[in-house]
Amino acid sequence: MEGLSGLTGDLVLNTLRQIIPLIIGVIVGVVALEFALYNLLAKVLKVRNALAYTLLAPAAIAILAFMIYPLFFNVLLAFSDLKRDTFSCYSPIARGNCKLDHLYGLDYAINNFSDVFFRVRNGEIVGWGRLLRTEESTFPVLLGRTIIWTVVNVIFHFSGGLALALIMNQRIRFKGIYRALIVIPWALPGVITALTWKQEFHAEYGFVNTLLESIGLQPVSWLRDPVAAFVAVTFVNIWLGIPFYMVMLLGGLQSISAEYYEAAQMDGAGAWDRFRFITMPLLKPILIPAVTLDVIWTFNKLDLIVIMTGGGPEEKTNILVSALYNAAFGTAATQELGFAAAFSIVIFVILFIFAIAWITTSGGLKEIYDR
Amino acid sequence: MKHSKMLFGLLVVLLALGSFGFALAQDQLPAVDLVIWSQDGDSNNVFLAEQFQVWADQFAPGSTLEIVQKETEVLRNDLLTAGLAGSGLPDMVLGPNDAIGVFVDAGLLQPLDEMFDLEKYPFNLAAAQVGGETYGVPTNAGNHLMLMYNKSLVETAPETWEELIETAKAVEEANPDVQGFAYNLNEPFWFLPFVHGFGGGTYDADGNMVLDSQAWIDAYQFVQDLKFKEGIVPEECDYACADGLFKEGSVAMILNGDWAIAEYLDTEKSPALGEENLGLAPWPALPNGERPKPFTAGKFISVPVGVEGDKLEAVKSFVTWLTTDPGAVEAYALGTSRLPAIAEVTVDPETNPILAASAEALTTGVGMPADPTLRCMWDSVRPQLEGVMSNSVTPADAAAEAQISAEECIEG
Repeated sequence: MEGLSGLTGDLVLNTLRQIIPLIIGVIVGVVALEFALYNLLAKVLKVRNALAYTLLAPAAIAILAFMIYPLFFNVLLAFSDLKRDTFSCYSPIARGNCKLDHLYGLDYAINNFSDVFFRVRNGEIVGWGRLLRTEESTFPVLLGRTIIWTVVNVIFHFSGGLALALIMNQRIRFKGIYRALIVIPWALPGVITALTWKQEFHAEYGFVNTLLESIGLQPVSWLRDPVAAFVAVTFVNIWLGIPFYMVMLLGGLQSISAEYYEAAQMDGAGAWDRFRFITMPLLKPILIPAVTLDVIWTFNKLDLIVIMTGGGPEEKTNILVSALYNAAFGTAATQELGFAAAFSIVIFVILFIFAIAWITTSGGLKEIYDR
Repeated sequence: MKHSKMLFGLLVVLLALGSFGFALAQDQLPAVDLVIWSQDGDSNNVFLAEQFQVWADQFAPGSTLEIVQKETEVLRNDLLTAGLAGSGLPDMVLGPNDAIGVFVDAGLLQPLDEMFDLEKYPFNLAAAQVGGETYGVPTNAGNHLMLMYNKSLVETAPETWEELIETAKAVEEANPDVQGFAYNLNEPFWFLPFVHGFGGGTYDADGNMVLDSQAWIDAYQFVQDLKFKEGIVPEECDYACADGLFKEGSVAMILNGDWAIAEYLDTEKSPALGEENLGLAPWPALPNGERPKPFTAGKFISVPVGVEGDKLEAVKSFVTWLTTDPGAVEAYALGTSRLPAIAEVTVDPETNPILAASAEALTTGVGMPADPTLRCMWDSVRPQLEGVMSNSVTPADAAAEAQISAEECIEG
C-alpha cells in the first residue's frame, strides 16, 4: 500500500550489489560450461557439428527447465487432489496427517477436469461449474467472452495496423518520427501501460471522461460498469496491438516489388484491384503467422486485465486466462491447484487445436514447408 | 609487598570482569541469519529492522534479519509455493490474522503455545487461534478501520451518518475542489462494519456462514444509498484514491485503518495532514443508533514449519522481546502508530491523543476470526458489492447470491 516509498538509493545500490555479481557469475558459468561441453563433444566423443550442439545447448536446457518441465509438472498436478486441506500430502515439510490413500490418479484428473465444466453433486451433474464466485463465471460464458475479446481485438489490430502500414509505405515527410511514435505502445512495458490507462479511465480524474465532458457527453463509469470496463480494456489492448501489425505488414509491403504494381496499372487495374490481387496475396506469408501469434497472445492476455480491472466488476471482464489466474492465485483463489492445472490444460488444448486448424487450413506456412 | 597487593587487586578485578562476561555470554545466543516475510509497509519495516538490531546487539551479536516485503496475496501464494517445494520458507511471517487459517490448514505453521508465554497478550490472541492452538504472536492490536478527517476542513468528527452526510455536503459547497467523503467503496473489508452495525455477522451461533440476512440487505442498501441517493461518495474510489486524496487535502473525511496513521502524521508524505490536521474518530452511528463495527485483530508474527535449532531459539527470543519488552513495544508498536498488544504499555491521551483516539475506535470493533472459510465470505461478497455499487444488482439479490456462492466455496 505504500508504493515506491521504500525505494531508496541505498536499497537500489544494495540490490545492484547483489544482482551484478550474480549476472557475472551466470555469464562466466555458462561460458565455462560451453567450453567444457565443446571439448567433450569435439575432442572426447568426436561428435560431428559439435559447435552447433554446443551453441544450441543453453537454449535447449532453458526450454527444458522453463517450458517442458513446468508443462510436465502442470499435467502431473492435474492428476492430483492438491488443495488447501490436502496440502500436507504433497508438501515434504507440512504438518498434519495425510488422509489420501494415493497422491496421483485418473480419478482425481476426472474430478478436476469435470469441475472445469460442471458442478457435480453426489455423482450427478447439477449445472455448469463456477470457476470463480459468481453465477456467470462458468466455462461457456468465459469462453464466449474470450472469443469475442479475441475476434474484436484481432480484427482491429489487423485493420488498424494495415491502414497505418499502407500510410507509412507512402512517400510522406517525417515518416521515421511517425513510425517511432506509433511503435511506442509496443515498446512500453505492459504493466506501465495498464496502470497508466487505468488512471486515464478513472471516472472522475481520468483523461477519457474529461475529454467526453469537453465535447458535451456524459462521463462514463469506465471501471465500475461491467460493459464499459470491458470496452475500456478492449480499447487499450487494440491500442497496444496495432504497432505489431504495422511493423510486420510494413516490412511485408516494402518487400513487394514496385514492378507488380506498375504492370497492373498498365493493364488498367484500379487501386482496389491492386490491393486485392497483389498486396494481400503477397502479404499472406507474413499475415498468417502474425494472426496466429496475435490470436494466441490476445487469447492469453493476462496482465492488462488483471491490472486494469482484476477481472471485475462482478467478475465480468474476465477471459479464460484471467479467470484461471484469479482461481489459482488471485483474490478469489481457493488454493485448488489440481483443478487450476486442469483448467490451464483445457485452455492450452483450445489454443493448440486452433493453431493447428488455422495454420493447416490457411496454408500460411506452405511456402516455408515447400522450401 | 606493594607489588603483591597490586597483583592481587588486579586478579580480583579480572576475576570479576571474567565472571561478568561469563554471565553475559550465558544470556547470549549464537549469531543467526533470519528471514522474515512482512506484509507490513516498507516504512513500518524500517522500525522492525531497527528493533532487530537493538535485540541482536544485546542478545545475539552478529545476527542479521532480511525483511522481504510482500503484499497479502503474494505472501499467501509464495508461502504455499515454498511449502509445496519443501524449501525457501522464511523463519518468520508478519501479517494480519486472516491468512493464518489458510496456512494452518496447509500445515505450514508451528503451534506457538509451548514456545511463548501467551498470557502476556490479553487482548487479541484469539484472532490467531485455530483449532485450540495459537499460531501467531501479536505485535500490536488493531488493524481496525476508523473515521479519519482533516481538521482544517472538518472541525469535529460527525457522530452520526446523518451528520456526516451534512458535513460532507457542506465541505463540498464551501470548497468546490474538495470531496467531502470517500472510502474504498468496493472492498468488503470496508463493508463488513456496516453489516455488523445493522446487527449481522458472517457466522451464526452454530458456525454456519450467513450472508443473506436482513442485516446484510440493509447494509447493501445503506452503502448504495450513500452513493446514488445522497451522492456523497465519488463515482469510483479504491484504496489508492481515498488515501491519495486524503494525503493531499482533496478529501475531508475517509475511512481507513490504523496502518495508515504513521504516514498521515508524516507531513513529507501527507502534506495536508500531520499531527495538527489529522483527526481520528469511531465510525458514526447508523440510523438504528448503532455504530458500524470494524473487524479488529492486529499484526501477528507466525513461525513456519522447518524453523529449528539456533534459529528457532533466536526467533523465540526476538519475538518475545519485540512484543513484551516495554521499551521495544513503545519503539515498534507505538513507533509505527499502532496500539500495543500487552497491558504493560498504555497510551497516554495527554501525550498521544492520536493513538488514544485510535484506541477508542478499536473498542467499537468486533474480533476477526482466523477461520479459513472466512475467505469464502470475502470472495463471495466482493463481486456482489461491486454490483450493488454500480446499481446493477439489488441488495436482496446481492445477499442471496453471496450466500449461494459462499456455500459452494465452502463445499469445495
